[in-house]
Amino acid sequence: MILNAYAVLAGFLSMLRLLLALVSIGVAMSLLRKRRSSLEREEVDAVENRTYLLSFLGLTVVVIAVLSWPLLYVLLQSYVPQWPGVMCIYGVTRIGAGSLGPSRFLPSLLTALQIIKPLMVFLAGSWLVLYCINRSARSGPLLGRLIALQVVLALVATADASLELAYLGIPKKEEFLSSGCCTEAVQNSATLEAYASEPAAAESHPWVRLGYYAANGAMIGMLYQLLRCLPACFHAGRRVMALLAAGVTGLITYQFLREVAAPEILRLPYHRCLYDLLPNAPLTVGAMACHLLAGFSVGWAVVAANSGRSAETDQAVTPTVSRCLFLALNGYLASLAIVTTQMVLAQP
Amino acid sequence: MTKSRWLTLLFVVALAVGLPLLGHALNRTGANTCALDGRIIEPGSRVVIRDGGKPAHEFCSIRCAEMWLARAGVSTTTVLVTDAITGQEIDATQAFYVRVPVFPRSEVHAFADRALAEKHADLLRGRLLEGDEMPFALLRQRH
Repeated sequence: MILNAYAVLAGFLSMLRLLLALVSIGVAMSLLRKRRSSLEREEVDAVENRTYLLSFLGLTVVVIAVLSWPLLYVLLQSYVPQWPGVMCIYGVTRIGAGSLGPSRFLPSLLTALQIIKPLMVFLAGSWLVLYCINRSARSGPLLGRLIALQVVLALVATADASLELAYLGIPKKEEFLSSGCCTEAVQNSATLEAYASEPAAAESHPWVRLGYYAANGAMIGMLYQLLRCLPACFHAGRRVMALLAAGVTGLITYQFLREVAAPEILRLPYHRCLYDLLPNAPLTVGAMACHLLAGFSVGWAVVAANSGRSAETDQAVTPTVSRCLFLALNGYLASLAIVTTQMVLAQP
Repeated sequence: MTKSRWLTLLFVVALAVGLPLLGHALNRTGANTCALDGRIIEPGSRVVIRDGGKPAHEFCSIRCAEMWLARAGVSTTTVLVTDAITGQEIDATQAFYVRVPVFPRSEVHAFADRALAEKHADLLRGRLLEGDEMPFALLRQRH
């Protein structure tokens, strides 16, 4: 176990998240039971109090879940100096690979964490969107859906916190380093030949650059059109289309950032590593965060439009969908502007 | 869209363009970094590749320079390595090289003088590289 300030903070937040998530599940279950059976005044009050408690727990889990995502990368960055051959987070993610001890689980744990954290943040945002819509109504018509979503969020948060605690707890210090592009393990001439055959970023995949601007431009145009004709045009077909478009744009953007933007911005034409952006070009990481926020916002708009409807909340759904889509529009524009400006500035 | 939303969009775009510009203006540290892996170059292990009149490329190690050269495939190059004792730049084809163990890998150090290179190899339990083992083999063949 490597103890530094970030590890202590990450460990504390993981334990807090685990505790709150487990308490959330308990409160949600008891609330669901009482809602079905309670008729007396005292029990109605108790249900109401537990609803407030559950909302408070939900909001706290949302905040901690969102904080834990960037904290994971800051933690991994703080581990880089621990091994002499490790040059960036990629090297840290390879620690333990091929080992026989418990540290052999470290790469898989990190992969799982890197998948589960975005999922948790998306669920947290979905819960928050439904919570805001529900608050606009007097009788809380979305409470059942909110509780169900909160249980799912709490289960994911429990899994995430357990994985993170396991990652923090497994000893890493004595393990040897496996090879990778950022681990300096390229020693023999065969590897040198393999390196030599790889083209520079600027030469490879010329369509990726075109695809990136086309996809993001189309996404911005689509969001602008949707915002202009809400609520009529955001019907089921358009929602599916918006989700698909956000997913495809996300994949193209990932490919573009890895293959083209990162080597150009870092001025390392053969180095396709997004992890290096964190210490060397943090604004590009900001652009990635804006892009993810934009993609998630499209998803939250769909969640609001699909699950936020009831007789009492119909009035609140359209403004919420509009806010989410506007946030997405801002996110895509900001991401595009930051990446383009960084790439222009990186030109010799 | 309302006027306030247009203003918000304008503000976000201005911020997204302005922040990188501001960062670029403030971040002129001048620290030399390796053209292959971006690491800060230590003066004692600096390697410079010059290709005609083009700007020189600097590297943090002989290994990085070799890999860059293998990929870039430039023909009219001059490679200068740094003498591990004097810190002077020397022609890579004229230099003597010693591989020394530096846990957990090994490093190659360059020397202008063969006797000093052999002494260095003895001191650090390294090995003087000969023939095909020497770095920049292609460059050497051309000379």
